[in-house]
Amino acid sequence: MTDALREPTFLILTALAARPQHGYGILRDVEEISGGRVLLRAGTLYTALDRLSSDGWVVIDREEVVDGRLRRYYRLADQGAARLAAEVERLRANTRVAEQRLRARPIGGTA
Amino acid sequence: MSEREQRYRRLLALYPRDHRTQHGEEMLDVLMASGGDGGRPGWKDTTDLLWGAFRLHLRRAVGADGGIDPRGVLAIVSLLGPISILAGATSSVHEVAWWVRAGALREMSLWTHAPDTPVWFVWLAVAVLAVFGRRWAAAIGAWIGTIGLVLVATVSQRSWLWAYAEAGWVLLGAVTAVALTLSPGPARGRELAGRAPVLVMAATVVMAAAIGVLGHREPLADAARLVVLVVGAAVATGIGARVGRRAALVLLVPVMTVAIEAVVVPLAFRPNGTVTALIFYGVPLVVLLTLGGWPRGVRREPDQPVT
Repeated sequence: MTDALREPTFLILTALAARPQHGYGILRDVEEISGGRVLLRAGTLYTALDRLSSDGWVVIDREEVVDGRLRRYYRLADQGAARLAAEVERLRANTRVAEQRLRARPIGGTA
Repeated sequence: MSEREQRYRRLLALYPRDHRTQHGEEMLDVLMASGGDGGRPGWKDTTDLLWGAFRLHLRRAVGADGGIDPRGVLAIVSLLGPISILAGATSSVHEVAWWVRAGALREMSLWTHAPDTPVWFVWLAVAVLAVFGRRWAAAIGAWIGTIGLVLVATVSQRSWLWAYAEAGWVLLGAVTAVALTLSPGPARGRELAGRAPVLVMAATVVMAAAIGVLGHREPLADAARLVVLVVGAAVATGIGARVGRRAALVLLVPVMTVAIEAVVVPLAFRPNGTVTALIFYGVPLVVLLTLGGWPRGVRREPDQPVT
């Protein structure tokens, strides 16, 4: 059984799930995915990318030069996609149980 | 260059070198794009960057990123280990020198006073063989030397000494023998180590031995000897590179056991032989494993990893 992903990790993997993105793009996407609740900063993002890359979950997709600056795009590796899918399933199972328990809850709560 | 960029660059300079090389400019772009128009970084960005730098240094210190080729570390140890271990002969050199000065060398019993002497000649031969690229002959010699050190530590008349700080030389001998057997060899070690590694390590050993012999049992001399060994190992292995730092950590196992003795002996803690062996042989091994001194395997994925 694997540990639950921390939220920033979950959001970074989610941001990269559909398409490769560069660092700034990941920051903005994480903000959007979380409805503005999670604002990642560069230090946190690149520390996470360092760990995710050494785990083989994220890899470099390509590099582009934009306005004389190097822009590096990251993408989700197969291993990262499998880990994200496992986390989604874990959250889904928890959510299902939580919904069932809430439906079973007596109206007005217990005394 | 704006003041804000200058300040970001100063903060990014705190990151591990390999990370700066790989991601420094990229991070700067992200920071400049997302940091607003202020003249200096906000406290949240500053804190976040400092925390990130600390975590990345910590990951590298414990080898958690797997970014070190263990064969490279062992290659450096295979070249410098046989030289470095010769510093362990200091006590015996001092003992022989004392008998020579007393004009009573003929009365000296090697088995009683310096039973490890023949073993150091074996290691001297191993060092010469390793330096001249005779790797397999050096490996065989290193195993013989290691067995010799184990015998000195277990059955000689001075074995009690080897249960304490001297245990580091036995451990270093064993690791060096493994390195000579399994690594790409001393030639590769020479490519990976610092500048003039053999010369620096040889000079270190001579200096450390001279200090140890001339200042025998003098606390200041003992401390100076350790400093020389640490600095020499750091320069010879090339601590500018991560592989060099890991190799230096392995070569400094004898310093580690001296440090353990300095902590344990004043406690008036007198454990039995098994516990003593566990402390002086087990703790350095655990430290090497946990701090990454004993290299971990590099994960090989079908995709190219980022770092």
